[in-house]
Amino acid sequence: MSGDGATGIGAIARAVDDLFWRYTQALDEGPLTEWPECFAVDATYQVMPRGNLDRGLPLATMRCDSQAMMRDRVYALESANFFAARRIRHVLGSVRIEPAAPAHDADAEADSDPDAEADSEAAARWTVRASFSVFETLSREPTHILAVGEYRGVVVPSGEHTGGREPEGQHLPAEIGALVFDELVVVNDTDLVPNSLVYPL
Amino acid sequence: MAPTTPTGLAWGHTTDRVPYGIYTDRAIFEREIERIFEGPSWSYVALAAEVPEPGSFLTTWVGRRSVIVTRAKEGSVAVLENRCAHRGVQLCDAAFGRSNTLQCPYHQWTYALDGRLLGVPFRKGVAGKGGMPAEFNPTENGLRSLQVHERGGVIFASFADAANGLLPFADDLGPTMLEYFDRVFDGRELAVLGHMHQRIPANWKLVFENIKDPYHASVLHVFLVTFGLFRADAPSSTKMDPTGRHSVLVASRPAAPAPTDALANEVSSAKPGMTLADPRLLDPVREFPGDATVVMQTLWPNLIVQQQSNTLAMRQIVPRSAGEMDLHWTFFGYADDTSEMTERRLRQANLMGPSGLVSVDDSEVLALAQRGVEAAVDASALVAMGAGDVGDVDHIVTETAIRAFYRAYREVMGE
Repeated sequence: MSGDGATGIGAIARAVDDLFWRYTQALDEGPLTEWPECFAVDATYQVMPRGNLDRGLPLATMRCDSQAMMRDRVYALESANFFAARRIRHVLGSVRIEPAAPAHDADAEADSDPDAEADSEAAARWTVRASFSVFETLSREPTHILAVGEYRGVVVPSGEHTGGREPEGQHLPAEIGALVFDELVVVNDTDLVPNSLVYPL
Repeated sequence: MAPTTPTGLAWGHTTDRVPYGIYTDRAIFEREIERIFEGPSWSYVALAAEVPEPGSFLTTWVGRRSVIVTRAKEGSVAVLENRCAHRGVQLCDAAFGRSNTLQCPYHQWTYALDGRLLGVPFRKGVAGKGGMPAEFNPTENGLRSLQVHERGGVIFASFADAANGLLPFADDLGPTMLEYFDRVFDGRELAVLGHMHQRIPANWKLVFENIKDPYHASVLHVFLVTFGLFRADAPSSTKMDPTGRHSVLVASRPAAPAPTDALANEVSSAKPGMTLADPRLLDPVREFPGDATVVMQTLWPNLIVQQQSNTLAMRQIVPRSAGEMDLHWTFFGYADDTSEMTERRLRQANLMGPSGLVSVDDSEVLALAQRGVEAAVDASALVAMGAGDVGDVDHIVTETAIRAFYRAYREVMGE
C-alpha cells in the first residue's frame, strides 16, 4: 500500500475509523437500530468464544446470517427480552487494515499477499482487525469488564451493498465513500460471560 | 408458629413455602456440597464425544471440585479428582487436551490416565540420601477416582458409591426419566458444536428450579410465546421420577399460529404482531418421534438437558457459593446430521446461552431473584400454583415440580 492520496491507505483508514465510530456509537449511545446499518445486506456477524475458535468448533454466542437477522435481534432486545438496564462502552485499540481478496473465495482470502493485491482496484475489500474491550455499567452498580477480544472483519464500500441506503460518513473521499462490514467475527476472549451478554459486542 | 428445622428455617406446614435462607446461607451451601453434590448422586461431567480418542482429556467439575475426564489407551473413561496426591496441587490446568500421562507441575509426580501413580522423582533419594520412606506405596497414592457411568454418549460421575447409597444410574433416574433421556441420547454418535459459559450471580437451585417452572416460560419469555415455541394454550405436561428430584417439562407447538386475544390479554408482554425479518432464525423441523417440540429435563443434581426445537444442549451447573454459580453449555447435534441441519442448530442456538433470545431473560431475572432473597432471609417464597397437583400434570399453570424437588431436597438435607 503506497501513498496517502484519496484512494491510499490514509483515506481507507479514515473510512474504517468512521465505520468503527458509527458501529460503537450505535451500541454505546444508540439508537440500536443503527447497528445493523453498519453491515451489508447479506453480511454475517458472529460473537465467537475464543475457546470454540481455538478448537475449530462452529458455535457462536450470537450469530446473524444477514442484516435482517441483526434487525430481528435488535427488535427482540427492544421489544421482547427482559434484562436489567445497562450501558456498554467500547474502547478500541489500533486498527490493522489490509486489502482482501474478492468475495466468495475464502481460501484465497486467507492466503492473500497484501503487496500483490495492493494496487488492485477491483478488490475494493479490506480486512480489518482491532482489539477491543467492552465495559458494562448496570444501573447503580460499579462498572465491570464485560468482554475483551478482537474484531476480525471484512469491509466494503457501502454503495452496492446496502440496498440504496447510504450511511452518513463524514469527510470521506468520494472515491471510497462510507464503508460497511461484509463480515464481522467478534472473537471474545472472555469465555466466561459475567452473567449475560445482552447487546451485540 | 411455623415448624422449623435444625437450621432454623421456616418451611411451613405445607409444601408451598420455600424459605429464602436456602438460597443465601453459607452453612446450608456447605451441607449441599457434602450431601448432594458429593453425596450419592450422578453428576453430569461430559459428552463421550469430547474425549474421543485414547489420550483425550478434559477438566470439569463435580460440585465445587475440579475433576479430569480421561480416555485411557483401552478406550475406557475415567473421572479423577484434579488434585495431586502429594501436595494437593490442581495438576491439570487445560480445559481440553491430549496426553499419555498426567503430570503435576510442582514436583512432577506422574499419573496414568486411569489415576495410577507412575512416578515420583527422587523417590529413592540421591546418592543414598533422602527419598521417600521404604513403606511408601504408589498404589495407595493415585488420584482419587470417581464412579463413572456412560449412557448414550453421556458421562456421569459420583464421589459416592453403592456403600454410601449410590443407586445404579438407571434406577436413580427411574423408567419415565430414562425414557426421555434416551429420546435424545438414542445411541447415535453425538457431534459437539461448541460451548458457552456464564457466571450467574444466583444460587444454583434458582437455575435448576427455573426449568421445573413452566409457569414462567409462558409469561417471561415473550420471544417463545410470540413465535409459538411455548405457550400456555399448547399441549404440555410435567413429569417426574418417584422421588421428585428429576423432572421433565414437555410441550408441543400450539395449533393456532398466533397467540389468541384471550392469551394476549392475560400476558401483557405478548406481541401478536411480531414477525421475523429473516425467518431462517426459526425454521424448526421435526426430528424426534412424537408431537413434543420442547423437552427440558432436569437431572439431579447438576444437569439440564435442553431440546427446544432443533437446539440441543447440556447445561451443567457448577455451584460456587450460596449466591453464585457457573453454567456451562455444551451444544451438540448428531454425527450423521446434514450440513443443513448443523446450520439450523447453530442458528437456533441464538435462542440460548448468555445471549439467548430466550435464556437471557432467565439469567437476568434470576440475578434479581438472588438480590431479593438476600435482603429478606427470614421470608419465604410461595409456590402454590396448581396447589392440588401431586406428581405428573398435563398443564403448565403449576409449580408442582418445584414442590416435589423441595420435598426430595429436604429429605436429603435433613431439613
